[in-house]
Amino acid sequence: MVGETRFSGRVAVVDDDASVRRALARLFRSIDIEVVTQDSGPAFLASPALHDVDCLVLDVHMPGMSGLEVLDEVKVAASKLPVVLMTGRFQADFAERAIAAGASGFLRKPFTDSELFAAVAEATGEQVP
Amino acid sequence: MTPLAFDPTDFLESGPLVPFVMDTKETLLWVGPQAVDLLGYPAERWMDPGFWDEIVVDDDLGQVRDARRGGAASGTGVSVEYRVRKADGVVLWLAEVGRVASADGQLRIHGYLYDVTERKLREVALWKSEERIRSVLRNAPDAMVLTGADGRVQNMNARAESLFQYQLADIAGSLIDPLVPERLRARFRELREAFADDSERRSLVVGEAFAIEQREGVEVPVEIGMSRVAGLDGEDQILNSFRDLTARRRVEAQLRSSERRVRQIANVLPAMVCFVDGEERFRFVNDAYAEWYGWQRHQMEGRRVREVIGESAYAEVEPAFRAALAGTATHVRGEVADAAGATRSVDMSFVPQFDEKDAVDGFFSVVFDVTSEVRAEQADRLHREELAHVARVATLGELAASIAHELNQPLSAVVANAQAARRLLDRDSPDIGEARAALEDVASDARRAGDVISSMRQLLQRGETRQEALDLQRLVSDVVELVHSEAVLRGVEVRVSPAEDVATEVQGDAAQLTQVFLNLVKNGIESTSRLPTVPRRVTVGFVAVGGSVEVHVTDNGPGFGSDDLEGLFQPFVTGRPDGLGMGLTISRTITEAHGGSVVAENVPGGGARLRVRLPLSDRDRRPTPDG
Repeated sequence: MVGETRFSGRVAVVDDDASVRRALARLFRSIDIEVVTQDSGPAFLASPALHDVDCLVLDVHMPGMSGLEVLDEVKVAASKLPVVLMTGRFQADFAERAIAAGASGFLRKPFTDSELFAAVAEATGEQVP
Repeated sequence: MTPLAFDPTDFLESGPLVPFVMDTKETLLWVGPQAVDLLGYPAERWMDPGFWDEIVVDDDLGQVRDARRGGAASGTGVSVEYRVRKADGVVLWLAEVGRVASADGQLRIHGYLYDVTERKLREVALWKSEERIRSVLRNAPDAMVLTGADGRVQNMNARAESLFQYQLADIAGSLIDPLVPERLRARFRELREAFADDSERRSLVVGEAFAIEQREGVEVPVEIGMSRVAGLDGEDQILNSFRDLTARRRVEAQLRSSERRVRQIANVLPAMVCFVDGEERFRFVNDAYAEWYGWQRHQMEGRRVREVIGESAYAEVEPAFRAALAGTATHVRGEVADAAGATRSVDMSFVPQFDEKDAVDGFFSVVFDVTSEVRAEQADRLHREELAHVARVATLGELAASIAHELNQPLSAVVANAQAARRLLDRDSPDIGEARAALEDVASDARRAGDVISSMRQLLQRGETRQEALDLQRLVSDVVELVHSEAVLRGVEVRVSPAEDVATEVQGDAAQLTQVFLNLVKNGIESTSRLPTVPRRVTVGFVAVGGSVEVHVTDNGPGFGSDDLEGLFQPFVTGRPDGLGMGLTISRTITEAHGGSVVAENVPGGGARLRVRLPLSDRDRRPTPDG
């Protein structure tokens, strides 16, 4: 459910791929949404951003700690934080697994800006942009 | 009584007997007047003391002298025949008969001369003819029996006596016919009589198989011949020859049995065997050869090769024929059509045969039908390619996630940057600097995606094994690049030790060898990723070994649990729950197809190592201490 209010919060992007982080950050900024980035789950969980962002856009496949593991931690540490999972791999049941794991939205890479904004909007209940 | 109307003087002076009186020194004292007509010399010449020396043929002179002087001395008289030369040069035979008489205390020889030339010539001819027959009989290698035209035995040689086991005395005057067995006797008689009647015919060799019967009743196979000997009295004699074939039969039988043995051997060989002579005619073919062309063996033997195998097949083998007939053995693999017209692959060997003078008198040709082997080879190659393809696909399956990831990462960035750039430019106050940065990132991420795709394409390619010059160091670096994201994902460091002093140029198929190293490096990554602690490491190094290079893929994982390191190369043997267990099998198959080898070993102190050895390209081969 997307309400009437326009999303004005901050977004965190966690992805081990620097190009992706930079590109997504640039895309959010182009519509004047504030972005913080982290290159791994543990780094995000340890950062103040965990409690200071309104939406987390999280890559599933990362070395060390996977996005799903990060999601579990987020559910514990910041249960209200809406999380949009991204995956670059083909996985038929990805959507089910993402929802089952507690994600508010999911994206298959590559995705367009409108798919990204729609997912964030869906996750937060506010309009993007 | 009427006086006898006979004048003895007239008789003495005109008869065919020439009377003479001679002293003991052989000088004529008187000779009948007909002597002048007999030899053509005037009467006074006859009285010369050296007369006989002049007219008697040299060879007979001694004999004449001995007879006269000996006869006179002993008083027994003279009887001698000798040759004299007439005044016209013609030689004639004289017979001289005399007796010793005494007159006035001197010894004289009173006697007659008469011409015996005609009788003498006949005697000599007869003697010569008999001598010839005797010589033929004596020297003949065969048994000889001389008969008259009537078939009655006149003479036989020693060989005949030993062959028939009769003495001449036993059968002289009997018909020859009983010497052959009764069943052949009528036929023999028929032949013999036909030959005797056909006076134009000088000799005959009886072509049919004959036999003689020995005294004991034993039959001996013989070849019979007949020749005509002209007799002086007008009656021909016939010389019958009997050649004992026992020995020849034995040799023939041996030859036949040895040929039969050769044929038997040749027939059980799984090959087509033939002997071709200098005129390119089949002299010997085994059953397989005849069957191949759908001929009967005896139809092929003696025929020209060209006629049997056809022009096009002949054209194909002709160079090898020429070489073989020039003394060079050749081996050819080719394709020929069999009797049914089906194409078969054959290995053909042509081996020249030398006679005792070292001249080529033909060649043996041995042809193996290798159709099934060739098909198996093709199938094997196909199978190997299939296997490699399956492995690639399987690996791709395993890698699918990371491949998609690998590709989707840059694509995501491209899309995001492009759309960010548009939005940045669409603003009321466009942020051109940031838009440019976004577009630069688009370009670089697009390149990254392209690189991923081209690496994938190499892997996906399916084709025959190619032979191209490859630098293994570069190939391995590409592989490491390919697994980079997976390695990062699993926290494994993959490192390539530069091959500074080691040649790494090989010939091979890039896609297949990439497959090999991809398998090995991925195995290493997977093994080490199960380690609880860091560092997890896979190292690739290069070692020169003789004319080869060894690529060592070493990890610091738990090593191979099993002692059966060879077993690792069996299909479906795996240490991983999700693996197919085909990786090492395929790696070895491919490596061996490249003339190389793969061995697995445990590293002392922990870890596993796979050593891939591949032959260097020729130009990179160089002597090394252990090579």
